[in-house]
Amino acid sequence: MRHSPAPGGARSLRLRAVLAPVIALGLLGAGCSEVVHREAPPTDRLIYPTGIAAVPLQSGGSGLLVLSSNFDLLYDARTGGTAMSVALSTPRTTGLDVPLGPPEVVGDVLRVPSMGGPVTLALDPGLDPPGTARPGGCPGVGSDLALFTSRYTDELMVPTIEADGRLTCGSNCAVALPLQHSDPLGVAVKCAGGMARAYVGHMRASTDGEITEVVLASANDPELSPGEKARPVPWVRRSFRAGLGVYALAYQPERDRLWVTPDGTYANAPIGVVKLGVHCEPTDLDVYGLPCPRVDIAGDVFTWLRGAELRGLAFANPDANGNRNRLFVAVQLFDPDLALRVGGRPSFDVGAALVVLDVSETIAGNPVVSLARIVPLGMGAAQLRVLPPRAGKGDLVAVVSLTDGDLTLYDDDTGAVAKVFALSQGASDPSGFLPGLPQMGKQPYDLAVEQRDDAGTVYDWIYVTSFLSNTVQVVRLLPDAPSDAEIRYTIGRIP
Amino acid sequence: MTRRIAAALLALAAACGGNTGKPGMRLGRPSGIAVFHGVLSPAGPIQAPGPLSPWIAVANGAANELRIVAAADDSTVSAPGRFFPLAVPTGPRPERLAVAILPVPSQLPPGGLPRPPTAAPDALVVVPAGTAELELIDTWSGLPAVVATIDLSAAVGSTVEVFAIVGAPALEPAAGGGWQAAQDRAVFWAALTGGRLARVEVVRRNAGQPGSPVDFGAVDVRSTGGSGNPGFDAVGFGFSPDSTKLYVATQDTIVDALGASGVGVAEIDVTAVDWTTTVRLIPVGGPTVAVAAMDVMERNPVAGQANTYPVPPVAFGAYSLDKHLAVGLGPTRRRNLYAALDPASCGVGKPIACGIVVFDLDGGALHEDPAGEQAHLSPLNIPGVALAILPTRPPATGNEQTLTPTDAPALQIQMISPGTGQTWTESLAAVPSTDGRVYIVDLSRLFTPSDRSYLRGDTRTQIVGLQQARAADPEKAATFYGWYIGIEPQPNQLLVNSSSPQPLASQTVLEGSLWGPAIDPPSWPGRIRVTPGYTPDETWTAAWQGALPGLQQRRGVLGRLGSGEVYVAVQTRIVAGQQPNDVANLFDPALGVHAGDPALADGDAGAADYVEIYPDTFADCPLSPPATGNIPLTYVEARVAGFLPPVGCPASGTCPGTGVFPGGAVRLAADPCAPGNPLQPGDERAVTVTIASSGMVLSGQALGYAGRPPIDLALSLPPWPPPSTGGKPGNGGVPDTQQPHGPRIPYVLQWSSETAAAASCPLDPWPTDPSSPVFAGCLEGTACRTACETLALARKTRRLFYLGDLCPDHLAFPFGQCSGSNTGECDTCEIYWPLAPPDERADQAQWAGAPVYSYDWEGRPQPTGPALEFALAAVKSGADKGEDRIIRGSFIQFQSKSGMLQTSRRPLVSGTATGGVLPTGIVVFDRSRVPGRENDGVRFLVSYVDNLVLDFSAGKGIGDVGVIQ
Repeated sequence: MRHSPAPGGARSLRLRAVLAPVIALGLLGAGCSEVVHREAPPTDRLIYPTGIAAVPLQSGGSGLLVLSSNFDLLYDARTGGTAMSVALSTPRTTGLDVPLGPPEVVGDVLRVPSMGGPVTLALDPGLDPPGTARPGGCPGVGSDLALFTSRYTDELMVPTIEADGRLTCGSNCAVALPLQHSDPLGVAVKCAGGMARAYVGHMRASTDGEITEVVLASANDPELSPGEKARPVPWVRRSFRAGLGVYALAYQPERDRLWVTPDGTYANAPIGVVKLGVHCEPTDLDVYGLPCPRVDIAGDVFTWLRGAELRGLAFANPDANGNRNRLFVAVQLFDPDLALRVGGRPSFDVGAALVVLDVSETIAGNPVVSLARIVPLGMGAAQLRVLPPRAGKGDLVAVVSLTDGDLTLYDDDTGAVAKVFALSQGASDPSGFLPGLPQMGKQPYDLAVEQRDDAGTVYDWIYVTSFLSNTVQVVRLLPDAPSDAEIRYTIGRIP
Repeated sequence: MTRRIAAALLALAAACGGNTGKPGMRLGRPSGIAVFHGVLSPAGPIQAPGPLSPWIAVANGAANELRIVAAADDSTVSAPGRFFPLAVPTGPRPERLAVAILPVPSQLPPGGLPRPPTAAPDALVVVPAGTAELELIDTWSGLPAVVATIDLSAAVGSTVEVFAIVGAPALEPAAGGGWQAAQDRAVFWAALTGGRLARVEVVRRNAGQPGSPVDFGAVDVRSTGGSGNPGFDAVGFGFSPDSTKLYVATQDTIVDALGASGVGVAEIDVTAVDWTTTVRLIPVGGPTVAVAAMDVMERNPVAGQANTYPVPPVAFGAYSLDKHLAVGLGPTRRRNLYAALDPASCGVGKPIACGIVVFDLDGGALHEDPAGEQAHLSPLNIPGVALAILPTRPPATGNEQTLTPTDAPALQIQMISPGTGQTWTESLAAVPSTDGRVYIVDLSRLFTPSDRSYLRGDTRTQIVGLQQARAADPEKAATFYGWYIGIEPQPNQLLVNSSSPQPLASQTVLEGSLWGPAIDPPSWPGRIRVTPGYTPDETWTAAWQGALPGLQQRRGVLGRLGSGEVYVAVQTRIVAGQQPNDVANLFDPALGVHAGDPALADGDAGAADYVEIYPDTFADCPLSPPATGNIPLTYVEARVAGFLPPVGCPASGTCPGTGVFPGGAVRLAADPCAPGNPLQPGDERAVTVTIASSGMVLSGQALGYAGRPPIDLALSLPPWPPPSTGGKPGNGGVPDTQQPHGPRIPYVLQWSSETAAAASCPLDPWPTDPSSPVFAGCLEGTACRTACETLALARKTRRLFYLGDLCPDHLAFPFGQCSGSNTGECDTCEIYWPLAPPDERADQAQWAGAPVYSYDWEGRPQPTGPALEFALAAVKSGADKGEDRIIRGSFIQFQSKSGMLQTSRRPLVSGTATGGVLPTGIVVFDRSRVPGRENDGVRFLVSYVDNLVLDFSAGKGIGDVGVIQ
C-alpha cells in the first residue's frame, strides 16, 4: 500500500526548514519548565498504586486502603494522588470471577499529594470491636490513623479511618516535614509508655537529620511539657541523625529501638539501630562523638553479602517471651566491584535476596545481628511483610520484587521458599492467566497482609499493588500450607 | 525492498548454517547446577544426538527451565532455531538439581563403586522451588525433557518441601563382603520438611542397555526422629567415599539411635533397611550448614627434620611450599569429615571459632591441632558464610597432576595455585561463600592458602600505624599536654608514632615533631611483636584510664539496696512492670570491669576501676570538686569495690521499679552523692555512666576488651626538672625522675588454654536465669573471675589460620652476611621471623632480646606466639607544662594486619572482577578426561544469582577463570 503525499508538498517542506529552529527552541523552552496539570485525578481507578494497608475496621470487618501515586504527574501534582478505601466485604469465591470494573470504594476518595509511599496504621485500641484486639494498636491516638509520606510535597499524611472504613482528612491531616527535598518514604510508629509517635525516614542524608519524629498523641506522653501537650496533634517534635539516608524503618517495642536500613550505600550495608529509650543530650555529639539519640550498628550485611543494598525490613512475630529475635531484610544486589570502580551504586541490579538475621545482644547490651540465611529472590525486591503468627511455627514472609514482578512466600519454619507468583505458565496456571503474564501484575510495588475468616476458615490474605497494571492482586493461603497459596481475585481492573 | 528481504534471508540462512554465533546461555537467576552424562547434540534436538558426553545443566530459576552447556568446552546447547539456547521446561522455579550414576558393568569393578569413564546416561532430577516434586529429565534419547514426576508429598501424606537432594549409588551386598553399587540402579536422597528423609530409587528400564529409559522406582520416606523426637531438618549432604554413610548437616538438635543428643552432623548408615535406626551424632562443635567427607593423605611433620636449616626435601615433588614446615605424607589416608559451622553458634565469645571444622572419623574426635597447641585443629576460616564444601582429588591426567617422586608407591597429587605461588597437594576443596568468592582449601595441609604473603614483603603480618592521641572528651583533653604515652621497644626508648624511636637520653621529645620512617623496620624488631596466624586485622587502642569497650556514656541507674550497698547498673531505667533494656552484663568478667581497692595507685594490680557518673541533674548527685582541683569535671566519680549478682524480675507479680539489674551491677566503694544528696535504701536514680580502667586498658575495634597492659611510668626524659612530687609506679602515675629507668614490662596478648579456663568459669555459657547460684561463686576476688576473663581473652586470641606461606630459598643467601636490615642479602623470613639463636646473622648483638618464632618446637610445623606483645611507657616532656598525672583517656592507637588473603576465585572478564555476587550452586568435573582438554584439570563450576557460571581449576592462576553467561 502506498501512502499519500504529505499535505503541503515542497512548499511545506521549505516552511518547515525555516520554522524548525524556532520550533526546536520552543520545545527546548517548554522542556525547561514544569508542565503543570491541573486536572483532578479520576476516582474510579487506581493510578500507579503504591502503598497499601489492610485495615481491621472498627465495625469488625476488613477494608483495604490503597494509594494512587500519580507517579507521572498527569494530574495535579499536589492533589493528584488518591487514597481510597476499598471494600473487601463482597463475597468472592473463585480466582477470576470479579467482573471488570472499578474498585468498590467506601466513602469519598481522598485527594492527596503525589508520590505517596508505604502505608502504616495506628489504630486506637479503644475503638476495637467488642471482644477483639486489632493488630497495630496504638493507645491514645483517639481514632484510627493511616500514615504515609508524599515524596513530592515532603509531607506526612495522617488521614483518619472511620468506623466503616471511610477516609477523612481534617485540617491537621498533612504534616509538613522540616527536612525539605529529603525524599521521605518509610514510616514506623511507636506506641508505648504513653507515647504515640511516628518516625519518618528520609532517604536523602543531611546534617539536619534523616529521621523526623512526629507526635501523634500527647495527653499521656511523659516526655512532653504541658505546653507541648496542649498542641494539636500531629506535630513535628524533632529531626535527628541516623548517619545515612533512611530507606525503611521498623520499631522494636520490647527494646524501644528503631531499626533502619540505609539508602545510597555502595561499599557497606549497615543496619542502624536508634535507641529511642536511651536518654541523651544533643551536645553529646560534640562532647563524646556520640549522636543523640544513640545510633548503633547492629551489623553490616555487606560482610556476608557483597553488593547488598538494604531495602525493606520487618521483625518476626514475637516469641513466647515477647521478643523479636528474627529480622527479615529485603536486599537488592548490585555488582560490588563495578560500584568500587565507579565510586557509587551502579544503576542496575544483578539480583535480589531476602536476608534472614538473628537478633541478639552483646554482653555490653548493644544490638547485634548474625546471618541465619540468604534466600535469592526476583530482582527488585524491596517491600516485605511478615504474615500473622502461626502457633508453634516460624513465620511466613511475603516479599514483592518490582523488577521481576514476583511475589515470594518464604517459610521461616522450613527455611525455604514456599511459593512464588511470577509469570503465568499458561494452561497450567490455576488462576487462568494467559502464558507469560505476571501473576502479580506488572511491577508489584507494595503489599499488605491480614488474617481473616472466609466461609468459616481462617486464611492469611496478601494484597499486592501493581504499579503498572493499576491493580491489587488478592492472594489467599492457609497458614499451614503456604505452598498452596492462590490468587483469589483482582481489584481495580479496568476494561 | 525486494533486495532487502533477500539480503535478510541470506543473513538468516548464514546464521543458521554456520558454527559461529553460538547463543549465550541467557540465564535467568540460576538456582542450581549439575554435571551429567547424557546423549545430546550440541546443536540441540534438531540434529542426531552424539555419543555419550558430559553436560552441565543449569536451573534457570526465573524462567522455569534448564539450560545445558557442554562440559567439555562450555559451549551452549542450541535450541532447534539455533538463535537461542535450548530450554528444557520444568516445573515453576527449578531450584535444585541432582545427578546419580546408573552404572553398567563396564564401569563397575567387582565389589566396588562406579568408576570413570561413565558408560551410560545418568539420572538427572530437578526439584521446583517450594515443592517435593522430583522431575526426571530424559538424558538418554537426545530429547531432553521432563519424562516423569514423583511428588514426595503424596508419599508423606501432607505438603512437604525438598531442602536438599543428592544422588548416590544403590548399594547391594558384595560377594566378598562389604557393599557394591548395583547395576542400572541409583538412589536420590532428599531432605524433606518436618525432619524427614526420602530415599527415591531410579532404575534403568532395560538392564544393561545404556540407551534405555530410566524410571522412578521405590520411594521410602522416614522421619529422622523417633518417638517424641521431631527429627532434624537436613540442610546439606555428604557421602563417605564408599557411599555407605550419608552425612547430614543440620542446624537442629540430633537425637541419635543410641539416645545421644546434641548438635553437629548426623551420620546415617544407608545400607540398613531401616536406616533411621542407624543415626549417629557426630559432635563437631556446633550446628552445621554444609558437610563433606573425604579420605585424605595429609602432610605430617617429619620427626627429627623440622628443626634444621636448610629444610630437607619434602615429599611433594620439587616444591616445598612451607620452607619452615618440614612435613611429609601419610602414612595412611585419614577418613575426615568437613563441616561448615552455623555462624550463629560460633565465633569470638563462643566455644569454637567459625569456619570449617575437620572431624577425624576414625579417631572419633575433632582433628588434632598440628601445632600441638589447641584442643583441636582450628576451624579453617572462610570469609562470609560457607554455602557448600566440595572436595576433590587430582585430575586423571594432564599437567595439573603428577606423582610424588619420593613416595613408594607414588601418590597422585594435584596442582594448587594461590597467589603466593604454585604448589602440589593431594586433596583440596572448593568452598563457595556468601561473599561471592569460591575459596580453596588445601585438605592435605589443613589450611587455606593465601593469595598474598603473610611472611614476606609489605603484605606480611605487621603493625602498620601508630599514633598517640588525646582523650576524646574535650573536657579531659583540654588539659592534655606534656605527656607522652608510647611503646617502649627497648629500655629507655619511647615510640609515640609511626616513626623511629630515639634513645631518650640524647634527645628531647618534641610534641608534633617526632621521627622518621615507617614503623617496624627490620632493624627494630619487637617493638610490637606479632605472630603470623594469630595477629588479626584490627585497630588497637591502649588508653590510660580508658573507657572499657561498650561502657562509655551508657545509660544506667545509680541506687542503694535495702541492704545498704550502693550500686551502678548499665541499663535503661526500669519502669515498674517492665524489664530493663540495653542491659550490659557488668557482672560478666568478659566485659573487663575490675573491682579493687581505691586506695591503691592507678594502674596497680588490684586497683579499683573508675565509674564516671553523669547525673541528669546535679541536684540528684551534687558534683564534688575533683581531687586535682584543676580539671573541670562534669561527672561524679566513684570506684568499683565489687559486684552484685544479677537480679531479675520475679517470676510472678509485678517487676519492681528499683533493684532489678539482670546483667548484674558494680558495687561502689562509697556513695558518690554523699554528702550533698546521699542515696537512701531503695533509691534508684537515672544517670549516664562511663566505666574506666584504673590504669591502661587495651581494646580492639572488633574484638573489644583485650586486657590491661602494664605501663612503665618510671621512664623519664632528661633534662628533667624536679617533679612536684617524687613518683614511681604505684603512686598515681606521677613519674619519678630521680629513679633509674623502670624495667620494660611487656604485655603479652596470647592464646591460653580455653579448656582449662572454661573448667573454672561457671559463667560460660552465661546463665539465662538471673537467680542462678553460680553468680554467687564468682564475686570479686574469686578465681572464677580470673578464669572467665582469661577465657574471654583466649577466645579472642585463637589461631586464625595455619601457615603455608613460602619463604625465599634460604640457600640463595650467603651465610654470615645478613645485617638484619638489608633485604637484598637476607632471607626476609629470617629478618621478620627470626629463629632462635644461634643462627648465621652477623649482628647478633642488635638482635639481643628480640622475639623468636618457634617454627622448630619439637617438630611442630606451626609457629605459635602472641597476637600482640609490646611494652608501654609514658614520659612527661617538660617542666613548664602539663599535669603531674597522665590525663584520663589519653591513648595510643595502632593497626595490625594479619597478612592473610584466603585464596579464592571469582568471575573475571578480561581480568576485571565482574559480578559474582551470590553463588547458588557448585559442581565439580574432571575435564582432563576429555580428549584434547587434558590440561584443563578438575573444574569447579559455580552458578551465581547474577546470571553467570564461573568455571575454574584450582591449579590455574587467579586470572585464568572462565565465565559462562
